[in-house]
Amino acid sequence: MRNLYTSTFGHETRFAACLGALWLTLVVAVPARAQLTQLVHDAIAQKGKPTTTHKPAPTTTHKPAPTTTNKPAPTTTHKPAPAPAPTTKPVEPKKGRPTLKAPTKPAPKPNPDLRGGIYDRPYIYRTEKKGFGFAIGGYTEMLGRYSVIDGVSDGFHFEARRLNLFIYSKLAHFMRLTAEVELAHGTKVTLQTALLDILILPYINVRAGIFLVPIGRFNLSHDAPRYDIIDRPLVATKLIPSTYADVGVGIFGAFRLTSGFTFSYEIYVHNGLGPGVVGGSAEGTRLVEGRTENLFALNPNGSPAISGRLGFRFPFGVELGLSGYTGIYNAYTVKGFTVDGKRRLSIVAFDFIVVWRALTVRGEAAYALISVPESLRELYATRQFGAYVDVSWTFWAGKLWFTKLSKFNIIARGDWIDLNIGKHKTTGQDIGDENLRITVGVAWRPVSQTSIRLAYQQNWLFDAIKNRGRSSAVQLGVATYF
Amino acid sequence: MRQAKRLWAALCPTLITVLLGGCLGGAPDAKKSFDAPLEGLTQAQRGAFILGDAAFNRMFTAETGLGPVFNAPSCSSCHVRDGRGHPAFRVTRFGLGDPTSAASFDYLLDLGGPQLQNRAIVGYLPESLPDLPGVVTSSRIAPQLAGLGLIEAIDDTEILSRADPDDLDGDGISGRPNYVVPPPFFVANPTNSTTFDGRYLGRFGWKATGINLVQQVALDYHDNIGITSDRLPTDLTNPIVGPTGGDPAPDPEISAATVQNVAFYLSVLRPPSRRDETDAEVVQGEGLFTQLGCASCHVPELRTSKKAAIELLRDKPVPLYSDLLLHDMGPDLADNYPEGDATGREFRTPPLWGLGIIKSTQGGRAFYLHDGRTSDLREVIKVHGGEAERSRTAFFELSETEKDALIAFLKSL
Repeated sequence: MRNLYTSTFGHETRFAACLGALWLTLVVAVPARAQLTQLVHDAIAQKGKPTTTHKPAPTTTHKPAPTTTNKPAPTTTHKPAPAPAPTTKPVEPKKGRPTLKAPTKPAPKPNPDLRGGIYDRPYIYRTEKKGFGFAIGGYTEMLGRYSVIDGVSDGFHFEARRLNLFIYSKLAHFMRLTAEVELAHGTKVTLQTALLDILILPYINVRAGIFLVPIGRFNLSHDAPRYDIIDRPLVATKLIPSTYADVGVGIFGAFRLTSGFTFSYEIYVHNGLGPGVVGGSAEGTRLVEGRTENLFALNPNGSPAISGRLGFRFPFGVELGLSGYTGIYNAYTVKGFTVDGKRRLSIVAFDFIVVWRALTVRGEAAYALISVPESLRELYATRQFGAYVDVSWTFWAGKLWFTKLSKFNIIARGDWIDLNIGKHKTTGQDIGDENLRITVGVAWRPVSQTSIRLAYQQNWLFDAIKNRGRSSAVQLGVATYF
Repeated sequence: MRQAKRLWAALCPTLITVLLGGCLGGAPDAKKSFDAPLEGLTQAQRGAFILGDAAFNRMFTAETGLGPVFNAPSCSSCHVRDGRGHPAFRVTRFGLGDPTSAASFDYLLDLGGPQLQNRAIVGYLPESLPDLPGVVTSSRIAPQLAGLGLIEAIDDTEILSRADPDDLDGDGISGRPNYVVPPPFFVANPTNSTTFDGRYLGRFGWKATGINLVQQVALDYHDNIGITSDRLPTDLTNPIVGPTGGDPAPDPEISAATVQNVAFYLSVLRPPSRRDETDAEVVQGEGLFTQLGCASCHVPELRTSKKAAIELLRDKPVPLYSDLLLHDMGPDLADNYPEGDATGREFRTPPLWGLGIIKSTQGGRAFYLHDGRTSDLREVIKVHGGEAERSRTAFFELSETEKDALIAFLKSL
């Protein structure tokens, strides 16, 4: 039987398509930038008034970025390049005659960068001179944890979970570079981002290098100080393998459609997850095992994966996202020999965030389809699903002791993940491999970029045949930008 | 007033968190689990137990030695929490020929027999049942493991004292020992050194083909997970693919120490404890169990040898409810698959200890019998035939109250 997930396109076709997309963006789009910009400015000038009168997109309503000590994150520094000098001399208005006023305050340009993403961060040091800029920053996270698994505890542990350093460089008014290195548990060093953006217009820009793959929101916005709950959501770690970065190229941009409503997109081709997805872990299908060590150097099968995300920003701090990923994960050819059938992995994810007064609600759901060899099905999942919702409510804010503006947040999160959707052939029962987690806690933010949090976590774990296990933990941690 | 409200608002979630933190859950009830160690282990023995536990739960991948053909990626996949396995992980044995004699039975070794390894690592071909007329298959779930050390410590003579292969006492119950040919690497224990025609007395497994735990561990690693050891250093392959190929891990894939540690771990697992044994209904059921003749095979208690290798296991009562001998179970239970001296109608009397809690490792629903075919204990009794036919008939002549009492007794084990 034909494999439903096997691509109908040949290897050469995909390669040609990738090259075509790259050529289109680099060769056609870049020179077209000046002309397009000119057209837009001409259109605004002819209309004689701003096209919109609403407030800017709520890019600054998200609070984790420091407003007290640090300078704002460079989300607002991404501006479309100024219009190039017109080729014909503009007509000067005659003196003494009333003229239509030119727009003094043009509509704010839609921002293609994700709120809370890699360009929405505080930096410890920033400088900008003659059109060039540089910034450096980072964050760190550490915690203490006491956990009990099925009634047995290994006691209390401290954990230096991660120290991340990031740099930002504005190479020209239309080009920027950013990179991030993570030092996990003090020993493991990984490069999470190293990308170059060529900013053409708000609605079309080019990105190349190592970037965060846009599946769900959390993978794009995962900095520990942004969250008041210590552990990352299950769906964003066990299904979507956050932090998932890959090397490739793509385009991104944003459109302002109507007043207060912005649409953004990003689409990339990249190496994709590797053969560890099935077989990398004996526990079952684990997408995180597809992040091979040489992911940034080698595509395991020569077939690039495609991923993308559509973002919708509404007024009142509401944002929705719909994202997807598809790619062949196994090495089906080795040195010209076909050694296996093509096996496809596809993920679709939905995310949202609502920021209303002191309340922030966010969540994410993802569904994965995995092509698995017939003999390994049931043991290895062909379908996975996971979702989480968390709520953070600032119940008190004000001057406290030595702080100028402290905030106290109540936090709660519900996590659910089913890593093997299906039924046992022998009994007809549902296959387990599930995890339900409830987390509640309280967080104190003495400054906006620092979160000191206490949380209690309860897990209900179900193995493949649905035997229930239980684990719980108390965590006390701190995460801060610097 | 407002400040006070804020203060309470700040304190309440903190207190709730701290209170919830206090509810971290206690240790599981040892009476309802299979994976607890015996009381009284020395510090060194506890260390070996932990090593064995880790090895037992280790999940293998192709890179660490899994396969190339296999049934499950770890010991604990089938023996979940050391309890009885789930039908999802049952294994199938197959062969062709006369079900009454292993000597004339063809185990189809050149076609992947005797056991079907129905899974394979990515890129390799799993085995499939041969498309031959008359192929016999026998599906089996993994037996529970708790108390295996005590069973191993029972002397051969204790088991053989109850054997009555020709039914000389005329009670309708025979009881035959299963003498099996040991593998080349076999080393006898002090308690199981009795030989008969170069064969040793088997006592483990549904048909009593396992002689001791070290042998059983090495074989199960090899046959079920595709893991090689110094005792069985060659990977199991699919004969259709050929004798070459396999997983990328160098052989042997586990050390001799790992096999020993797992065998030790199994030997000191605490046997399941009785529950509600003083309940009136349970006491009544226990009486009926003996009265109906069930206890003729499901012998309530054996005793370990004074020569047992582990001091903690010496001269101890073993309330396993089994005589560890083979019995003809009639046509409904017959799998027509002979092994050693066991015919296709014979099974070793399965120990009944832990019967009431096996569902705790089977996803909340009990699967009884060697193939996990039913979740109803009355159905289990119903399919008993052969030597057990008289007891079965007697059970179904009981009143409903009495039947319930006997079932309650079985669930208290």
